[in-house]
Amino acid sequence: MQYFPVVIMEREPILESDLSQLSIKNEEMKLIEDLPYELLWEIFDRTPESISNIRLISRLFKSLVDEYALSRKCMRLVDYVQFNFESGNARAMSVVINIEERFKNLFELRFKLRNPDIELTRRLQRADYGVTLGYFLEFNVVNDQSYLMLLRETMGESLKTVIVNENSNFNQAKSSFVSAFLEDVHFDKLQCQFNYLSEQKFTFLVNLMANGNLRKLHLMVEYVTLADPVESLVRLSSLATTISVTQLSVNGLAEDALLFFGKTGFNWAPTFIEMMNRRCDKLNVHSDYAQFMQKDHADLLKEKLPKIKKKIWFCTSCECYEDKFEYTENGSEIKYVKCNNFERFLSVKHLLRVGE
Amino acid sequence: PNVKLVTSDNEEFVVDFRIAKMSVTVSRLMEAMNMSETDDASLLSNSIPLPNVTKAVMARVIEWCEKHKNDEPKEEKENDKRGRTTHVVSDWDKEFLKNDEFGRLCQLMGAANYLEIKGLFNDISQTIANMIHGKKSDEIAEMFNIHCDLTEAEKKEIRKKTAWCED
Repeated sequence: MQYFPVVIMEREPILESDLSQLSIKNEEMKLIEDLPYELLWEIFDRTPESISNIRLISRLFKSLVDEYALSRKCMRLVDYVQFNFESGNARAMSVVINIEERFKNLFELRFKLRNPDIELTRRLQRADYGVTLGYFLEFNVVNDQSYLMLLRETMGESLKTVIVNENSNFNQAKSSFVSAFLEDVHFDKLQCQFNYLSEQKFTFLVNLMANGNLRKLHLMVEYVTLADPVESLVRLSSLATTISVTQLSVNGLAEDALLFFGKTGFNWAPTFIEMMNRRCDKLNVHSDYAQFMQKDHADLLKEKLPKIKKKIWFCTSCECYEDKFEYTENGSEIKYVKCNNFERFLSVKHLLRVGE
Repeated sequence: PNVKLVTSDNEEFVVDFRIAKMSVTVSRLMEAMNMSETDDASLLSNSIPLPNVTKAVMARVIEWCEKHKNDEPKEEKENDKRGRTTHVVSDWDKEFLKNDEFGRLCQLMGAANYLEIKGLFNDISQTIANMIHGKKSDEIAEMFNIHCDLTEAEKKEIRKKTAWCED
């Protein structure tokens, strides 16, 4: 038999109607310094712009704020970090870290507490965009390792979006650096633009997705040189819930080409259906060559996607129908929209997700 | 059905079962003591000891719970824990907390944390944060009733050390 302490009451119990008569005496009051650190941190989280002022209250508060600011488990400060694979040097890259203005004091305190050297601070150029700020750094992936790890610690373990622009300057040293920089960092969204999507770059992409534990992927490509583009897209659909794939225009290719993701005149409909049967439940397909989606492909999507047993959201570039239409089937809205002379879309959306 | 809650200063509060369940801590204790809504005997024969809450604070907690007992439960996203915390304090909650001094708010915050009443905890921590927001260090110190042990020269030095190169 379990024993629980029972308090024997000598007084009558207080009823809810008597509550207003009670007051808290001054001697019972607790001082803010007595709060456990994690509760103080909860307050700091909600007013990060006040951090510099709280730090000047007293020696105790200075040390409390410093401990808070040095924590790796800091709340998410960074909106996005963008890696640019610069040309001209096999090891040259640049990074932009974008944060909301209200996180400026905390972000900079985290950086300065780890690195008081003003010369090192100067390397990180700050640009003010109004409600957001960008911190820009050009670096060498080999020589600047320690500086970059300092930046990584400043950023914390969570951020919203990672952007990778490889600009045709991808190599092992740069991709390894980006992977190492983002190791154990959680991010919701990954946005990658590849001029040429090769097997090596695809492996890099998949590793980043697996490491980041992300939900959203936006992939933009020009040329795709993968051995099996179909299988590759299906694989991505197991790694993210929201996927956007954009086929950018390719230099010299006619507007009426049927290109999408490295294949010309290919029926992608079965692949998109297969993707929606995996982890992915939101797929946005855009191609600068919208005729890649031919009528029999689109008809298959209209027929099969509403039958998938989950609340899906699907949209693709499509120019194969003459007139716009809209109807409901099996709890999904099927719609063909002509936004203007250039943009036409076919969408299949669960009725609960139409507003997304 | 009613539940008996006993504070650190041996005061007994009789509250509605629904109110008791708003506290995750109390819910867990009731479960451990095999107290259920449908078993009046179990509710009558047991009291829930809450050694970290005084009667005065408990009264305020119950007043808040009374107002919010019919609220829809809020979905908390996975990332919210260390994500950005934005909580809008409702007009009623602002009114409820507006006359509490800092010390009292801190007590309530500690109690909301111990009792695991997320809504009350969010209201209080956001209220304190709002009070701090936009104030200078000496104004915050005055609000907190804290004596500043830093000299002006030391403050200047602290500011200098953490200033960005462009400031």
